[in-house]
Amino acid sequence: MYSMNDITLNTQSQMRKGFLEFCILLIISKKEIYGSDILKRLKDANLIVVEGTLYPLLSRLKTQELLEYNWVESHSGPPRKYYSLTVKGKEALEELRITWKSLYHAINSLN
Amino acid sequence: MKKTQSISIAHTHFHIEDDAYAQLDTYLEAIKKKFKHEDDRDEIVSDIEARIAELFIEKTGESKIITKEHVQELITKMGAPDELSDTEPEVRNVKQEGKRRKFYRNEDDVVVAGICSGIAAFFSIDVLIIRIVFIVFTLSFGGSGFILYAILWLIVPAAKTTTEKLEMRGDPVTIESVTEAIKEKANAVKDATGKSWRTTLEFPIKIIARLVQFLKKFFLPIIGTTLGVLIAFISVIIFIGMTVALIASTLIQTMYYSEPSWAHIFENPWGVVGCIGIYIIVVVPIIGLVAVGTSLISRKIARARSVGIILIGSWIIGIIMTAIAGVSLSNEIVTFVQDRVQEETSLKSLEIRTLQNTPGQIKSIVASDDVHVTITMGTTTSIELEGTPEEIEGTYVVTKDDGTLIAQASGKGCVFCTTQTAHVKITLPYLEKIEVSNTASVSGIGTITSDNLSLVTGDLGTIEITANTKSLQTESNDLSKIRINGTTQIFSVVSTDLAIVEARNLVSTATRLKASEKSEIHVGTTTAIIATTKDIGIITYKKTDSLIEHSTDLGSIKKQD
Repeated sequence: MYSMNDITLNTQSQMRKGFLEFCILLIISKKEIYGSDILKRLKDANLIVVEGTLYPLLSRLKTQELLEYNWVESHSGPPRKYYSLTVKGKEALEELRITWKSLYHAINSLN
Repeated sequence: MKKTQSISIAHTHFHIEDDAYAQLDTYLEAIKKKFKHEDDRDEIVSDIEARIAELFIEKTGESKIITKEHVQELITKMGAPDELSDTEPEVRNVKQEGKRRKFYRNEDDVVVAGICSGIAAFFSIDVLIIRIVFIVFTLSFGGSGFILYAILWLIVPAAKTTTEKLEMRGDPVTIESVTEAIKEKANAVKDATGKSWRTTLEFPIKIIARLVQFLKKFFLPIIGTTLGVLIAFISVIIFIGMTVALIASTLIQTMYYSEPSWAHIFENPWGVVGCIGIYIIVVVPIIGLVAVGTSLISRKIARARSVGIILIGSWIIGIIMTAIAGVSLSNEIVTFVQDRVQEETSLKSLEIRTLQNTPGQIKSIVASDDVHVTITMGTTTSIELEGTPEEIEGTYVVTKDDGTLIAQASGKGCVFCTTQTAHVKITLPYLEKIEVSNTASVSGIGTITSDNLSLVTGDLGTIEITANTKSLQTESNDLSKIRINGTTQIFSVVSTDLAIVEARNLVSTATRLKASEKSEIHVGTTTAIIATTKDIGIITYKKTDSLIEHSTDLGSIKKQD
């Protein structure tokens, strides 16, 4: 049996995860960007709690061919992966944008 | 100042304090475990490691020394392994991992070796119950429990690290649970007081525990040291002995080898190589034994990997050397062994006893009881027994009035053991019949010529002859064997009960064969065959112009080249 707390936690976590993907695609769509900068943007927007969550997500988006990356040397540490959207990624982002807008309106009308 | 070690994270070098390292290592292992079912786990983990390196560079500055605080900060920032999952839901995941338990010995709660407490942890049952069950079991099954316990002690490892202790109890290994387990251990001492009925039940167990602890503390070292000294001492003696033998056999050759065949081996340089090879094969394990002995004495297990590799390596070289030397010396070794065997047999002083000329003419020979008879055709009749005095004593040879010669064991000596028999050599001008039974064997030297010859075998007896006859009959039973070469006009064979008649090299004109009860008959070239087989009897022939066959009950007749 799941407690009430579990249910809300689960829903919240799923909602956040759904949005997180959308947000990552949004951030990357602005310009080529590397992992730690994505983290910084997400943290500033209060969208991510622990940093480790980002990497499996990025990896999955890459497997789905929505993202690609270039290696760029760094003088202060290990080489960095700079991510950018693929054509497929841009299309996906457009669709998510539409979905987000309709959801936004739907929830507002119910609220 | 704390002890540090050097590590590399995402190709960046850091110095890390020992306790921080342990924590970081556990954390990274947990992350790897977390993603082990993902296809691109290596990429995810290396991405995370790159981020970790970045964070450490940021935090440690110029010094690049990672402390425990740095690691803790990092874990809070990156998140516990369970929080990192891309897919939902974590709640179920944790429960599944919790089920995977391993059986360890619990060294934190020991009476003898922590087997019972390990079992208790594995099944989440109170240790007390397991211990009582074990004691009852041992008492009621005549001590078999002790053996079981000893075996478990040998094969089940002790839970040493915190991770293993968590696995033993079936707790998931996460950074939180590890920390918790360490805290728990610190608190455990305080919770030691229990209920009164428990204390009563545990009282005898506690006494046993004290006793075992005492024995472990005082007697184990004594036994270990004694054993160690003994092993080391014996090994050293063998080592010295082998070394002396090596030096003697390779350097002081002339003095050592009065034997020509020995000297022969060592004139060859391979002989020396073989000697050194054998020396290495024997001595290397002895060095190992010395190490075992000394580690028993010092009660510390000496485990130097490089030394082990060198020992095993040189042992293999020793084997190779011996093998090569053995192959290149094979001729010398064979002659050496032959010389030795000859020496051995000549020592037994063989004797030949010629029997007095026997009355009348011998027509047939009957051999039984393991006696070996050889027959040679000649103009006069003579009988010789060849063997050691005991063997000759053990052989009984007599000729009856009807011309039958009987050769068998005399039956003197013991009743239940078989007496050794001599080799019976018979020369005779004429022969009609040979009868063999009870594992006796008869073989012909040269060709046996006769108009009419009959061979009868039974009970594992064997006959081996070359014949030149007009008519040849054989009758064989019960696992006996006949091998005939030569020529005959009429050849008649009856064989039964697993007997084998082997006549592939016999040339015959008219052949009549009967094989039954799994027996086999193999004949060679013959003009005409009349063959009967039954009950899995087998007949084969090489060549014939005419074949009349009659097979029943799985009997078979085949042509064979």
